[in-house]
Amino acid sequence: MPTPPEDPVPKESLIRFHADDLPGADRRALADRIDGDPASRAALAEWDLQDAAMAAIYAPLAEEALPPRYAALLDEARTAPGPQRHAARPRSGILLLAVLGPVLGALIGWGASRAFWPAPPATAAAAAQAFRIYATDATRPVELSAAEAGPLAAWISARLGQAIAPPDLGRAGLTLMGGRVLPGPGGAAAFFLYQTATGQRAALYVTTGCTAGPDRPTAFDTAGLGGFWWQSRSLCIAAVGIPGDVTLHRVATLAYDALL
Amino acid sequence: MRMDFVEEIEAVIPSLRRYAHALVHDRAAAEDLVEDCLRRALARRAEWQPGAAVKTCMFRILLNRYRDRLRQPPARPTLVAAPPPPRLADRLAHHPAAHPAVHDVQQAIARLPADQRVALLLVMLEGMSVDEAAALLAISRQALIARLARARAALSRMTAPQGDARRSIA
Repeated sequence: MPTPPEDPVPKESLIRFHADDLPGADRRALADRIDGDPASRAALAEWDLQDAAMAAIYAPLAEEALPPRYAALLDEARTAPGPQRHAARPRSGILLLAVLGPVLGALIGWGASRAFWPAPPATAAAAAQAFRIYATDATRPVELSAAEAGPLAAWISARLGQAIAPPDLGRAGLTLMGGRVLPGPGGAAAFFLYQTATGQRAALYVTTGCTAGPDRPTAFDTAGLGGFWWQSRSLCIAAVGIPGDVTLHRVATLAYDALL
Repeated sequence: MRMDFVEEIEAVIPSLRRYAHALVHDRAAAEDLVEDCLRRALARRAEWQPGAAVKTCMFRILLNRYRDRLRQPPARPTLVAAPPPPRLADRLAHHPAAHPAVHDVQQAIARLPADQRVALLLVMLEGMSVDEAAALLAISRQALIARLARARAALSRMTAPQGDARRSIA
């Protein structure tokens, strides 16, 4: 006797599935139902395309330099007297920070943070593994090159279910080589590979389904590789490279701001 | 190391701009909206507490200003569908094959009812969770999910090829 067909998946359930709003067991059960429901699969694919389309158009806006009109307002607020006056940066401190910044960054980032996260978390380990495999690949380190940044962002946004574009790390001396989609601890992961003018490489690894992590870039090191990782929304993000090749703390700070 | 008030606000601006541009679909109007929001947020400096959800507060200010503007008679056609800014159009022209329907989706979102567009963009573009978006909009989770479902169904209808007889998920 044939098995009667299941009822269609309710659209509200599908919305929650797509928004990653279901607890693990419910999500797995619904995924099984969706597998057997072509209409639901088609709807999810269409929603992924809608999201990717919007990401392709608007995500790059968040990578643009701050427009002068906003920078002026912020500068004005920093120098204005008020309850947070102590937070304004003294002019004399800028030079001091410029000189001591890298040293302080290294000490704070690599020393203090490591004490709180002594073992590399799954995201950091996966990022390091991806870096070992792809950053050293002489033939095809990336699937889509930086020349195809738009399709790369659209592809990755669609696979990760939210708008993600490779951030500009030019201020850390890095240019984007390209990226690819990889498996990650919580689902699909994005791998963006960058390179300095002299060929040193660093990567950003972004994965979904992140449930716990530091809310600020936090150092890790594993078998000769190092970097920083943090959680932002449901994303776990890691900046990874060879310590000393690139200023990984700077990379992490720029990526943190861009992917917040 | 915790960021200070101005740094926290600065860190939110990129997200705020991305959302505003998608919401009002007009570059000048979007930047005006963000600047208005920024000025109001900075004016609340005295009320700021370390650890406060600055991003949520700024999105709330922006949405309140957006609703205020919707209630005003339009001085110019800023809240209706318009061609994408030239720079964006140029960018799309370089990879039309990757997303042949990109422009259709953008135009369809501009035609959604405002409440649906506001909710959908928070989730689809800003990656907010259902809980975050519902709290920001001060509606229940169920109401948000229903709003998202209506928005997705409307988008699908508006972007379906002419004569497409596919069964709508709605």
